[in-house]
This record gives sequence, C-alpha cells and structure tokens, in this order.
Amino acid sequence: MKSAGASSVTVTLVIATTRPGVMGLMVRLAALTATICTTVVASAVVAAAPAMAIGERGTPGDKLSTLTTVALFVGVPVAAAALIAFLVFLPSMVSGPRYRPGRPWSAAASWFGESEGAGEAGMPELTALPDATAQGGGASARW
Amino acid sequence: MPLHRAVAQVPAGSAFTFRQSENIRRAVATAGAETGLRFFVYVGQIEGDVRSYARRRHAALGSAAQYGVLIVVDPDARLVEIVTGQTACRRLDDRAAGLASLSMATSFAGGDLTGGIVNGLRMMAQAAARPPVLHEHDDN
Repeated sequence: MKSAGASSVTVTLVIATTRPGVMGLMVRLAALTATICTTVVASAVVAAAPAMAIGERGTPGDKLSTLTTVALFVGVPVAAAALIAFLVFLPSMVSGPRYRPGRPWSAAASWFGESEGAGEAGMPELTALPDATAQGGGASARW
Repeated sequence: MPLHRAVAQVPAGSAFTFRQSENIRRAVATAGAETGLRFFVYVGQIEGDVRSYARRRHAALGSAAQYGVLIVVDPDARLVEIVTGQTACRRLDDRAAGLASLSMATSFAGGDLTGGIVNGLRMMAQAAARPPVLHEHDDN
C-alpha cells in the first residue's frame, strides 16, 4: 500500500516535470542561457591563462633534455593514437566473429526452439519422409 | 585486410552473442505463442543439399513436425530454407513463407543474421496468426 502511494507520487512528479508549458519552457531557456554564458566565460579565461603569466617573476626553467622532448612530442601522440585505435577495435573484439556475406563461415551450428524428436541424431535412420513433412510446404531464398 | 583474415579464421565458436541468442529465442517463443505453431531455427553450415537436409531435419522433429515450421540458415552457402509441416502449411502458406524468406535473405545480405531471423519469424507469425480455435489440438 505504502509503496503504491510512493510510486503514484513519483508518477505525478514525472508528469509534472515533463508536461510542456510556459514555465517549463522558461526554465529550460534560463538553463540554456546560463550554460552558454558559463562556457563562453570559462573558455576565455582558460585561453588567456598564459597572458596572465606575463608579469610573473621567477626562473623560466631549464632547457628540455632530448629524452624528455622525444617523450613529449613523439611518445604522447603515439600513446594517444594507440589508445584511440584500441577503443575503436574494442567492440568487435568483445562481440567476437561477425557474419560478413561472402566470407567463410566457421562458427558452430546453433539451434533455437525446443529440442524435439530425435533431432540431428535421428536423421540417418529416416528412410522416407513422413506425411507430416512430405505433405507440407515451404520456401527458400538465396542472397 | 590482415585483420579480416584473422576474424575469418577464428575457430568454431558461437555465432551469436548472448543478447542476440536471447532475441532469437524470444522471437521463436513469441511466434509460437501467437500462432500455436512450433517454430525452430537452425543456423549452421550444411554439407550437401540444403533443401533435403532441411526436410529430413524437419521430419526428425517427430510429433512436432505436423505443426512445425523449421527455418534453416546456411550462411556459408548463403541459403535460407523454410519447411512447414502438413498442418502448419495450411496456416502459413508457401506464399507467406516465400515472402518471409525473401525478407530474411535481404537482411542476411546486409550481414544482419539476428535481425533477419527475428523479422522473418515476426512476419510468419503475423501471416499465420488468427483467432484462437478452442480444442483444436484435441484428438476427438
């Protein structure tokens, strides 16, 4: 009883929040405006970060060693490319072999539906087709 | 190219993921419940004549053959066969079976085995669906 009441409250809440109306439209518009403003200001601040360092004092740091330079400008891009390639191939690695028309098919046979009668094992014993099959029909198609 | 070769050489494993098998199993059960017929699906390589294999496999269903509809898909030979039993073919005539097999072949040609089987089952269930007849399967 209690849970039924709670679920009905949830349902009305959902209906109330999803009902399209002037209030909902205004709220959505306000949220959109706030998001756009925040994004514009934040990206400007982030882009201007080096400019803010102009007046700073301190040691500028040593020259990069050859090893660090190579690691930074070759190692990082290669690692990023490898990561992206791995993520691209991950779905096909997980899902296993996929059927591609025209390519050889090597997967094990699959049977769907209850296993009825003798199944594949009983096929060699069939000398003639019973009426149930012989009087039946069917169709076929190629691709 | 080498990647595709590696995929093709994968030794015998299941052709379908768990979710795909689940979809087909559900489609088989739904089609059976909607029509009162018994649907069976076989997907695999077949040596020799596919049509004769399908008919013998249908006969091997035993008592279920009368109301049985067997769909045999050979992805290697690129052939789909539908065999309907003596009673089943009155409800699912050859024209409806042919239409379903064509629709399935179209999906298979696009590489979608699961979608083709599920859609074909749905089409056949729709063609064979009718108001339920009480005591239809009783002996007397």
